[in-house]
Amino acid sequence: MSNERQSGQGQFLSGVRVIDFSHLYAGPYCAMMLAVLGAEVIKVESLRHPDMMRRRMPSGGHVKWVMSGDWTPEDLSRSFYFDADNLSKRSVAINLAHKQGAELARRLVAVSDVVVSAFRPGVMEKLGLGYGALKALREDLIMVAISGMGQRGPEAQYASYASIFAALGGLSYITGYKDGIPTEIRASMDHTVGTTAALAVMAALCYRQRTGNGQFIDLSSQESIAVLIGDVLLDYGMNRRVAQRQGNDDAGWAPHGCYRCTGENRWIALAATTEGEWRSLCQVMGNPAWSAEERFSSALRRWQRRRELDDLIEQWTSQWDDGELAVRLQGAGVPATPVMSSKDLFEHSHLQERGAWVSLRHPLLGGLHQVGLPWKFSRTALTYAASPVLGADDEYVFRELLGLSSAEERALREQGAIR
Amino acid sequence: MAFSPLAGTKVLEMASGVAASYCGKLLSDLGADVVKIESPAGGDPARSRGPFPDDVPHPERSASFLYLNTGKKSITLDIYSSDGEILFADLVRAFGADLLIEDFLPEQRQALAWKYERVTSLRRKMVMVSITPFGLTGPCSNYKAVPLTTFHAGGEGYLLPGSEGWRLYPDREPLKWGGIASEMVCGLSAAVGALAALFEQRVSGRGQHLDVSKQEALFSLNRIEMSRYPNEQFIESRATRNLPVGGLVECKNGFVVIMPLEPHMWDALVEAMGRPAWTQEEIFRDPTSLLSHGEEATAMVAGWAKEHTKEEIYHNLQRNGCAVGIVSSAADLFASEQLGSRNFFIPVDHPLAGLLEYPSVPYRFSDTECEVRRAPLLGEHNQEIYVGLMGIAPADCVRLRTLGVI
Repeated sequence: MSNERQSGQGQFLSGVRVIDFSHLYAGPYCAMMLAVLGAEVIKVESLRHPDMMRRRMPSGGHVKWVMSGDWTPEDLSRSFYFDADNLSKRSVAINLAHKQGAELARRLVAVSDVVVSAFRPGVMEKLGLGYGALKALREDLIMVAISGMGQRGPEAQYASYASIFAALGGLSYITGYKDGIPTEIRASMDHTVGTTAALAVMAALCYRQRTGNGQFIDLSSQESIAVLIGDVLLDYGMNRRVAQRQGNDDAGWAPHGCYRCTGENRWIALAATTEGEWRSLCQVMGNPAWSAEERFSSALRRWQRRRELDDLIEQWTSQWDDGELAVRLQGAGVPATPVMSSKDLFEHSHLQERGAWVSLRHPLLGGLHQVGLPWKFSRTALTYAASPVLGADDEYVFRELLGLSSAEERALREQGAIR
Repeated sequence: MAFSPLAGTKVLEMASGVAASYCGKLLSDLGADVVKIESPAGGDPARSRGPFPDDVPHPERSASFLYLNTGKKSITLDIYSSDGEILFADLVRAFGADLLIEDFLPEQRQALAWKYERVTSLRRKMVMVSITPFGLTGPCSNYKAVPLTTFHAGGEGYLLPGSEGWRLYPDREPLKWGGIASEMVCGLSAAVGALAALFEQRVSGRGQHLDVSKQEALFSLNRIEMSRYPNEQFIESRATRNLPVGGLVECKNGFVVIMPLEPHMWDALVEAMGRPAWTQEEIFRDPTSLLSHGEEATAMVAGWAKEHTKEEIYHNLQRNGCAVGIVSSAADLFASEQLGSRNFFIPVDHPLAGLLEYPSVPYRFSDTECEVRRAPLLGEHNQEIYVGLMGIAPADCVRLRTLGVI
């Protein structure tokens, strides 16, 4: 049942073994980045506590959940949502709530390099899988613990999802129409946190490569978002100014926005950032009389009258197909793009040519398309394979890595430690 | 410094945009030696972008520049001049660069003689990281872009604003994230790839070229939503983002996001509200029925929230076990006890911008230090690098300066 791993020559992280205890998006994406870079990533779950995303199934535009009960590993291995954040990993079924299961996990960590966890602070410790306990088994272990607000502090135990740390990190507050409410931001936030965790792990790997020392990394999701508004935070420190929502506006350029095109929910994003781009834009518009009026005759005037300008531009764009118009504007040297949907991005010849989507063969789902990682390296290969069926690598882990006999494995299964 | 994760790593940066600068900053805060090469004519454009103290522009006081360039050294060099090209080649060797981060625009790239092949011939070990809107290959690689258009080419614009924002403003235009965050996440993705190449370089002794497309970096962050189209022919949009119960709710002094995604969280919310009578009705007590009456339930919760402050709601609900967050402004972040207890903000002094609290880093390492140090003045390290490191005669430095090369 194990996946074919396309093990190319000279991967970035060949020889690095990662144990992934995380569920949902952020932790799995962090571990997946390491897997695509060539680390051997083993995801630890169980039939009792599978990654919840394994249960999420498409249902005619809605989402349905595989309900708890007598599910089999196969029932829990048909979700392409799960697949998206778990490419190129191995899977082992270990019941961490069972004493012997936790012991198996400890033995596995003892032969590994990196641990990724994303439970609430204290849970890993309760399972006997805290950094202290694991470090005793593996001196140079690198462990990253991802949580909403970090491992310490008065709010460390608070529950958090993407839109909560987007809010607590300050990005939601400044995202929205100038006269509107703040904006919820979702899964991109989880993946931002996962990327941040991957950066921290890579830095720790580089450090260990030099010094031989491992370490523990306490990663806060709230802070992972807050660092993305550093300029806004410094502005507060400098001027006690609380940055507000600005829609699509820029602080100096106009026009700068999204404008309606023909068709339902079709928009073009465009901007003119120089006198030359403004003239080119006017030219593509056919130099309408209003564009020569005094109120739009300088960059500052255009910015000051930007709402009037937006209305006039939209009267023009709304006659056009967004894709066609973007090509014309780009041809004239004006920054412009359709506001792209998933369908646009999938059908985008540019992304196809760059191999931004990867095609995979999943053991149960067959052909799948997933978004690749945003790196094109000139020399070293990336490793892409479909996500594993739950427990697909039990034999590899228990036999080869831990040296259990089949009788021992059977006994552990009967006790409920495995599965 | 010896105990920083990337101590001893040598990075050259030629950035005019936020993403590449932020990539350099991430490595600098992790302890790498980052030398930023700026144009002698005004330096990094971020120096002229605000915000500034009291809205008085000054190249050494831009909040964007100060934040994006912590810990770096700055030298000035006109890389388009022939002297500049020679100096750059000498610098790569004398400095012993492991990484070069750049974000040239297509037309600049064409004007520069030294493309990747040329640069690598200077130093085979060096990893070059190119961060561009659409990548270096493909039919759109020469397209013009600003952060706004890059964001909307990345797929998330089609999803914003969803849920409550969509309900209120179904006829309005798609939105970008506020500020310059969307560029920074591209720098973040590039930094992960850069360290992977560095890790490999230390084993193989060979560098390579990493081509990062910002469009793809953004696109990858919405990988689940994006994959729904090819795998189930479903197009996620602003209209499809509703939560069954909860979401963004206005309260007495701002907004909170309430997410009772699990049954025990709904119970906790009911408890925190003091078990009002409506919550005891059968339609709201049964978890399945609650989901089909989610809109009504959310409206009732919103009514309750109006009477309470965001701080009360946050702590009270969280202590009862329901996920909720304050929609925090810059002022709220500075007031956060959690961030305070973690020393997230740290004081950094700067000779011209003064002492300010900077956000530090989102990771705490047990055995190594991340130190956020002040941003450099324009050309502050010319003497140190050109004379001290490269051994150029001070009189030649004066000549190069007169020529506008440095």
